[in-house]
Amino acid sequence: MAESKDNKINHTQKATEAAEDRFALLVDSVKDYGIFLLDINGFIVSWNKGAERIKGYSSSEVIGKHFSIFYLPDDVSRNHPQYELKMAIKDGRYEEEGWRLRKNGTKFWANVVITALKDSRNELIGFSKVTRDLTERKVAEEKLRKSEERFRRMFEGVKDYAMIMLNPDGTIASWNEGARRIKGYEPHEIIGKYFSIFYPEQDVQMGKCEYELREATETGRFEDEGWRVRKDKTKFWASVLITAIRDDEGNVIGFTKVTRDITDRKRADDLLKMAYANLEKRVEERTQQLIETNKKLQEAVRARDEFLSIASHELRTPLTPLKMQIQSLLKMITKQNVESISVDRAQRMAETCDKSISRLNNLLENLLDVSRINLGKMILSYETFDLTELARSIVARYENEINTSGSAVSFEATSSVLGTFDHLRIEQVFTNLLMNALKYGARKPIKIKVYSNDTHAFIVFIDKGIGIAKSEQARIFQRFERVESNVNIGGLGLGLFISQQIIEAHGGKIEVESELAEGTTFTVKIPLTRFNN
Amino acid sequence: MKKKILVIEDDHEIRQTIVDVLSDEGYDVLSAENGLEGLKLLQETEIPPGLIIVDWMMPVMDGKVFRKEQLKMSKFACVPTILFSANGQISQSAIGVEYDDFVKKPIDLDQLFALAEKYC
Repeated sequence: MAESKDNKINHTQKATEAAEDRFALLVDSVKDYGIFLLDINGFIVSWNKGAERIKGYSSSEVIGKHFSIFYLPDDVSRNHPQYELKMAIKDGRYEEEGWRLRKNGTKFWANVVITALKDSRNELIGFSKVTRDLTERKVAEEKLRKSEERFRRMFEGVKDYAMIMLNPDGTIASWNEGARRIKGYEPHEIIGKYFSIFYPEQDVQMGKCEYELREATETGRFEDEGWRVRKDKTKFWASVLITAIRDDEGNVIGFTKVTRDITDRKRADDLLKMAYANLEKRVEERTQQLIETNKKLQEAVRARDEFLSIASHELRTPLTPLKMQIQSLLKMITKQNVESISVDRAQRMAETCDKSISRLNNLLENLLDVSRINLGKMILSYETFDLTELARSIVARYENEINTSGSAVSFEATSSVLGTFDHLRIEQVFTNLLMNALKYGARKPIKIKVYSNDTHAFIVFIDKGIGIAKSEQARIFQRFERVESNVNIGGLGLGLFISQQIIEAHGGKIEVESELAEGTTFTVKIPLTRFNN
Repeated sequence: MKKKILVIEDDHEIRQTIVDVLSDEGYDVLSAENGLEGLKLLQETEIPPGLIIVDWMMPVMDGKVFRKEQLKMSKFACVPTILFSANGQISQSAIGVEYDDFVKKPIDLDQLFALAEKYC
């Protein structure tokens, strides 16, 4: 019995040993896991193929060594290997991931499970240690982590752009430095708020925020420029780009919103636009001025050409009788019948020549006056005299002309109007106005008044003649202008221009009141005392 | 007997001179200050003048209107008429009214006499 019992025991023992051998072989052949045993002090007692592959040591090299040879010097110096064993004893098992060293000194990322091995009396007999090389996974994870970190840092660190993430409902999910700088909110103040907080009230009411998210969802992105509001309620001009973010199934999982403060650019643009508009306006104005100047120049050229034509016509008028009278006299002398000329005829001949020469002289004087006025050389020689007396003498001097004109001239004057004027120039003005009245008076009565108040002398010519249309009245004092009418009346058109210049040089003015076909009143007002320009 | 000449000219000196020089030559000279007066004179005249000398630019009625009116009067339509003007630009084609001759001021006396001789 005892023998059979011994045999049985022996048999069982053998079977167990055989199983252990097989198990040892199995463990030894596992290549993906480093599986080895440590004694209670952490010295290596077994080694498998996987351990050799992962760590590079052969079993003969490593058995009997302390397992801390796989640890980084830092871990060793802080007794991490011992800590691991302690934890395994305490909890039965210890697992961690960490950097370990290969024989060749390179690091690998290891998943380590240490199990405390106890015998049937629960006494520690050693440790099993299973190590996996997870370096590849770790490297990939690290790469991803670094990339995400880099991205996060970049995202957060961007200062010139507000880069924020919105949740699908438009609430703010993240906030960067640029957003803080541009919009003024700290992350804790703003995260979770709806993004309409950045929009002017009017835009919010119009549903602009919802519209922007809808656009971004439908088309992928929404781009805009417009006014946005900072925390301190000031506004800034923003360039905004909202992009929808989708998951692999295409669902919108949020939005990125990139905002730039381009207020300065906007201001510069606005200033530029304003400057451009101003420039355009100025160009327009200048062009208009040039057009007007050109028009005036053309008008001046036209007036000058017309004047030259009128002047040559006017000069020919007194030349005609002068030439005919002289030729007539020459003919008589040639025919030797000068004696036959009657005294009357001879007198008319001489008078006609004299008058014609005077007329030519007057025309030339007028032309010279215009030239003097143009050159600013009209100099007045003041003397004190009685204007009434001068007026009366001129009317008397032109008795013949008055009679020829057919107009009756009445003269009303206060007994004396003493003043200081240029005698010859005032005479010229009076004569001009008288000749005009006779020329355009249509044979109707002409009234002349001379009077004064405390400061001014007045000369008034009232005729009932052809009159001047209102539209023409401004023109009549201009150089070379004669009122166009259906009556062809000669004249250089310089009389009123010269008269006005003379009166203005005296510090006075000359005014016209007239109705077409009813007559004209010219009023001259001159200071009684010398005018100092 | 020398024929009658009608002179229509608004300028007193010119008118008087033409009257004088033509009278010296023995013509019977009538004168008027403007076209309207000229027409009146014609209407009052029994024997038509042999020649009319008319100025272009005149107040009341100018030489052009006078000529048009004259041509309407059967009795005087064929009286030779000379246009007398200081405006060198005026030409037969430009004025649109027919004249028998055109004389520019200032006129040469011989030319005036030659024309008087020719038409009268």
